[in-house]
Amino acid sequence: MRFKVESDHVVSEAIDGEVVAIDLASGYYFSLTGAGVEVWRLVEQSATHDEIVEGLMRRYQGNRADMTDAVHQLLDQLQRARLVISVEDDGAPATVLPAAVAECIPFVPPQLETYTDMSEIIRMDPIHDVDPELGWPHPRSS
Amino acid sequence: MKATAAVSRRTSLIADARRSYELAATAAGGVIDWRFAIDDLAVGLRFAGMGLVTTITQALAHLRTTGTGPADLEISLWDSASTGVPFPVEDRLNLPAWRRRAPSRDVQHCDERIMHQPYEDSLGVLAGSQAVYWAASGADAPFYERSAPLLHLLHWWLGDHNRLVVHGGAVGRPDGGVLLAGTSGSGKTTAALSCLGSNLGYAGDDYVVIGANPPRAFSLYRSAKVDRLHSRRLASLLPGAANPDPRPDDKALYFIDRGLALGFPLRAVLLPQLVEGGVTRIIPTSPAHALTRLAPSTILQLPGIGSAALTSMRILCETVPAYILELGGDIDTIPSVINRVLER
Repeated sequence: MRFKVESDHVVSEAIDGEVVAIDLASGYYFSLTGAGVEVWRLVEQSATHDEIVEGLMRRYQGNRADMTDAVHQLLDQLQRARLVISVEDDGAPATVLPAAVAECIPFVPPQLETYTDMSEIIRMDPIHDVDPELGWPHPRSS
Repeated sequence: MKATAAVSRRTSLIADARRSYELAATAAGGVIDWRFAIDDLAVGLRFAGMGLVTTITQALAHLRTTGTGPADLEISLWDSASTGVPFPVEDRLNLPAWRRRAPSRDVQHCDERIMHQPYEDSLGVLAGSQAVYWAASGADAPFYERSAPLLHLLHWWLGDHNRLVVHGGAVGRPDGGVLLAGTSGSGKTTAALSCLGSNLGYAGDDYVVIGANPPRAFSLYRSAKVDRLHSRRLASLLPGAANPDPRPDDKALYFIDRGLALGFPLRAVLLPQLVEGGVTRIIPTSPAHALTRLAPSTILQLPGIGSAALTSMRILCETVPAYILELGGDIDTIPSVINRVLER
């Protein structure tokens, strides 16, 4: 099983040790920090669960069991948030993992923050949900 | 079959719309040319009669130029109320168009980009360097349309020319200025308008254009939308409202006529934040924080170039420092606080 970004409706950028992702369909946006940045980078390359764990082992100090659990939980969160989908492994070449570094950095568990404050405007139907007196972008009060 | 029919109709939409525009121009007795420029890009507006001239040009008047020759973008405009010529597609709701909400896959893949605003009853189509804009009536355009006319057409077209319309304000002086980013109600307008009368020129309070290498901001609209409480607070700085009798929840609309800046190098991103009773000050913050304040509201309000837009904003936030701008009750001090940022 490989994991891929929902590129039809998700855009993202890594910046300053963080990934900012925006779901164009829901209007939700997300901040991914810690080891989640590396997980996201590998998911962008359609990595498998095991490849992601291996990628983290090459960068971070820590034991494999902790990283396996963290990756499992994060992939579950990302799929529930509709940012990532799982697809059958079609035999494509394995993901290119980062080279092992001489000094690994301490493992910081991934953290996914979800922001919903922009979603109302995006999801509003301009015909039926707009207040007839006040117009866009005021939602119908009842 | 439904999708195929939509594609077939869509590919000819701008041609159909231009034929209706020509009919409207004949009915109106001629074409009125009006030209403006953003940075070094010239935009020609060709109005069929006077019906839309005031509605569209008020917010763009500071960008008006007298150039001749072909414009980089030509927009043909007409309205049905004054010309009697309808839009060529009666069933506009079935057009595969953006409607101020997340784009469907179908819309993303079309060559012509269409923005249909059913509530406002207007429609814009962009295809390369040609665009058509139609509205049922210029006189009935709501205040937010008058404050930011042709927003989506300009957003898409500027995106094709390495400029990006962002949801933010900007103030500055010739040697540098700041981008004011944040969601509605964060204090962008208060911060921008409080600089009127100072050495910081006003480039906009809600939508401005940014360019890269080096980062620059360009004014797009000279409008300002202010809620009633703040318009009283800023009364000494503002001209008369363009909508003196707004509906209860409408903001007052102003067209700024002095202290404008057309463009300047960007030196910082400021994130305004209203603070009850505090003093106005800046606090350094991270590039990622700046991006989360700037990008979602820009991309979600201005659909159509999400991925490229996010990359442009990420580069900007990595290139210039970011600060939270805490806005206290002392709005008179905002220009001096921003000037201190520019001296850093």
